[in-house]
Amino acid sequence: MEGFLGTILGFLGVALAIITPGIGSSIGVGLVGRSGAGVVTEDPDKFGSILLLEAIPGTQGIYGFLTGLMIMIKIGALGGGLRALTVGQGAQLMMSAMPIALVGWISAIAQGRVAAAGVGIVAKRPEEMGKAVILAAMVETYAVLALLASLLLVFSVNV
Amino acid sequence: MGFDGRFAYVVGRVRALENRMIDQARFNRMIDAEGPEELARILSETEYSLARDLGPERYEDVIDGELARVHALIESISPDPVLTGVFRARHDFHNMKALLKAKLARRDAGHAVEEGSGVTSLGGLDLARLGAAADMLVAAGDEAQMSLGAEALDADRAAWQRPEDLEGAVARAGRRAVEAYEAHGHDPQYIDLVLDRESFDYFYQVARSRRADFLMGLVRTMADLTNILICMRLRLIGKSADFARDVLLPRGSVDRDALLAVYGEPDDAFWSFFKHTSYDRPVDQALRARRDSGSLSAFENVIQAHLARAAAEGGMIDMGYEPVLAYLMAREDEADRLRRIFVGKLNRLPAEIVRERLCGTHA
Repeated sequence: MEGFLGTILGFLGVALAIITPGIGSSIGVGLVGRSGAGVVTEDPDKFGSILLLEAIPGTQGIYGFLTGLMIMIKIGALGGGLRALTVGQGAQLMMSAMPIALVGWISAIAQGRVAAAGVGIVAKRPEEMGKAVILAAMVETYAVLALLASLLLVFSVNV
Repeated sequence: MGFDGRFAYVVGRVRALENRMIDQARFNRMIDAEGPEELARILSETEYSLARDLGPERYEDVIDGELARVHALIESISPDPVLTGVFRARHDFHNMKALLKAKLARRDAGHAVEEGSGVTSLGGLDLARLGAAADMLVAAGDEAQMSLGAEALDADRAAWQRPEDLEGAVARAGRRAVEAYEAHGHDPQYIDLVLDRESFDYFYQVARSRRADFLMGLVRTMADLTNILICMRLRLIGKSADFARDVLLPRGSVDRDALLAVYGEPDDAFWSFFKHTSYDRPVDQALRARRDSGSLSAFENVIQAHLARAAAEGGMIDMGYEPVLAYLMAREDEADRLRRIFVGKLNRLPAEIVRERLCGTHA
């Protein structure tokens, strides 16, 4: 029973790491996409710049997936060698996912808002696109820190 | 309301459309144009492409056609057309004024005023339906039919309370205007006064129903600045405080009773009242402009410019209805400037005079 509960907690960590940043990224990307569609309707030449801005809030989803993948490797969920975890090990892995799960979720939405505002910069001053990208990329810092924290925590768990 | 992602698409589109607005350099070219034909040619290089085909004499059709197209576009893509189109309702209230005045002039004075006179195509409501409502109101205003008309109008009262029902709001405003007209000895001025007041009430109801803080602030500013202009005009023609009480608009932030209390004071004492309000600077600038130029229009231009700046602040908000409202108001402002330039050019006024008339009308 204990091994079963520990494994469930490990899976919960995987799910959290993938689901919440994924939700945040889809909201962020969707927001930039809608705003960008408005600009492209009037000015199709700006599609390339808009696409770059739209991709930026999508990285948190990738970070979450990466963290989830590391936990899956750690517990042997890939390749059929699933390990029985103690409740303590499962809880540690689940908590390891929390930094990227929370920071990835919220920062993706925040980044989407900045990038959507950056769409306005691209619409009015396409030559200033670099600044729009930098402004959005600043939010990325915290998602990267959260990813690092999550990965370090996952690696520190003895399974 | 803050950040509102529902408006992402329309805000993106508006940001792109803002690029196509007429810039100061092109306005200068228009002002310096040789004549109306060249002005129409320069204008046709912009979104007002019909200017070349229709010619300068039909400039109103060109400008109104473009504005109507913009309003229709925003209405079709906005997630909340009532909120983003709130100021388009001004044209519907204006049309009700024009229709009522024409019909009442025919009924009471026997004047055959042309039905379409003063009516604009910029409103969102169907003119035929507005005309039918005006017919009913004018008939109901006749003593014999008053109760019958009132009953018919009361039947829709519940629907009129909703801000979404602009048609009902305009009809209700028209009814109050006809009542005021009858009560004040068939004075057509009251048609204008009541419909102006009711239109501000409508703007405020829309803002309140959406908890739209920016719009509420803008309506307050519009009401206050319009009241400042009204006070200036009424004092110049020597109207009493009692008359001003009927004319001043509601929903402003300046206390109307306090304003009316100082209304009869000499100029210095009256205008110093605004030193204790947030309109200290614009009033001071407007008074100075009037002193320097000696014209009322200089005063009006400064006040209008302050309003345009207040509206333009909506454009600074990254996502929501605010940039859309700011864009629509900027387009209305652009249209107003174009009309002034066309009037000047058609009357063969020198460029300096046209430029002077435009001075201060934009943000």
